[in-house]
Amino acid sequence: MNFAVEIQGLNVWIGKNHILKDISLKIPEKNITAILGPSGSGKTTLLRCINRLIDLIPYSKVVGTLKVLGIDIYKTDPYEVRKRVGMVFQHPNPFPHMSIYENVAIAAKISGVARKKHELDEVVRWALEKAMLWDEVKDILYDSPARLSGGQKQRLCLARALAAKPRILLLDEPTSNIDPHNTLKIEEAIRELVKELKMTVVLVTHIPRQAFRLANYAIILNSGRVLDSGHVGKVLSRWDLLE
Amino acid sequence: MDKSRILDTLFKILCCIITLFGMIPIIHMLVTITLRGSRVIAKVGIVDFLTAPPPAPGSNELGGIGTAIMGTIILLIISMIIGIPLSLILAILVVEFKESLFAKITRYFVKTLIGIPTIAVSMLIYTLVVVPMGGASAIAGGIALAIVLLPYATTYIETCFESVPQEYKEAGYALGMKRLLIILKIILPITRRCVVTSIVLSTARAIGETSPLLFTAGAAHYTYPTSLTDPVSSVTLLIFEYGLSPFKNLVDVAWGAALVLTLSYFLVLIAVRLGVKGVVL
Repeated sequence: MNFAVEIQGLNVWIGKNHILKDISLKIPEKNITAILGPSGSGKTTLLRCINRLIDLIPYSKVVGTLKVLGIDIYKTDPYEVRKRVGMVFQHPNPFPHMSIYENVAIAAKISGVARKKHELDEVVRWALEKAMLWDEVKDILYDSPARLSGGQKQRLCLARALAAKPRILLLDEPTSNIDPHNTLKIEEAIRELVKELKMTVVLVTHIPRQAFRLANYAIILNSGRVLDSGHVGKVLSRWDLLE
Repeated sequence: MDKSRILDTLFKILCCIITLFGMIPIIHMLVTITLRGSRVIAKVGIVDFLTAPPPAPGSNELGGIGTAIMGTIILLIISMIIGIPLSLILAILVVEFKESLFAKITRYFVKTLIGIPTIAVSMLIYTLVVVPMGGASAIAGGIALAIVLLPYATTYIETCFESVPQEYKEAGYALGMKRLLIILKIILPITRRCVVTSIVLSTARAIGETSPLLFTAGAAHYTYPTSLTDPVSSVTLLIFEYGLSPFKNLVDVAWGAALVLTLSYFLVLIAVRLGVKGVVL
């Protein structure tokens, strides 16, 4: 089995708080891996280490080895890492000053996936289709995302992340603030991404049922340490999380 | 009616009375300026008042404030050319590199500059610019106004930049955007209305100042400048000097100029309010 992410002896401090403690794990590629754990267990911090977004937090300190797609990301340009590792945040955050089209196109432009208008048109349509949003926005592409519902905004953020054609997609509780209908749509979109595009997805969730529905593998964090990891069914059963 | 409702009503009435009492000086000032100023402008004619040079002291003529308006526009342009880009850069520095020592020093410097009397700015520019150039000029006045404008514009723009939620910046970084691109593509476009308002308000504040121009602009009330090294007049300088004049016709011109200045402020504030929705002035 090949691994998309390999972490060895990872310790993270934010100020004086020791957030992640001696984490060592491997995330298999072309699969969905769920990271579970109680609030404050370090799930989001771990996710933010994978694309070095942790660097933005003042007084953060990272020690250990973190390889993404075989490259030690702390020995390379973080901006290049982020172009290959897409991320969708807990709260939908489409850029409010850009249209729906521009929100998706900007990711394609920055990552170098597309530059010319017809290329951008294709990528925008492709990304919106993959995020299962195309049919709902195809007639309002040049409108502000402000008119979209919370769930639609989150799918727009998913499309934005996909437009950069990342090899790995990080999802930080992407359905925690949206309705069940949109949750199902996002879950379906994630499943298709792995099936069709062979993408590696790392999903932070606090819902064991969602992890079971979506993921192949699971990692349980508690107080900044890995409590358990392995096949999702086995891990969740061991901790009685499927009740 | 129960006791609490009576107390509530009495308190509201008391608040209204205190507010009205506090507004009396402002209302008195506005009414006086409007009555005395409009009388002068009506006598001269609005076009003549805005374009003609001032009258000779003690003559029976009234004249206008054309030289002062032209000087004010020149000073405004120079101060904006110098002050606005600098304020934008400083605001970006203070917000985006807030942990750096340079940003901390800049923030302290900017806050301190707000508290410095503007007459001191005038004296500083007199020493650094007027004396080496051999005389007062539009450039010296513009630099002095730019220094007055700088801390206000920087502070206002800084507030605009601070208001951008971190989540948008994070989304940009997550896409692989570099810091400069985040500033250009996310922070500036999101805050463009707020930034425009900040620029207008800080410029309006600076242009209403008199003391930075006392030793720098030259108060050339009777001549139109032909180059940036010529001394210039300004509306505020003209009001200050003519208002203290023993000649009645000059005092009258000062009242007319005061009305023009007041109306300009109101027009700017109304334009900003109409043009920039959601801004509380």
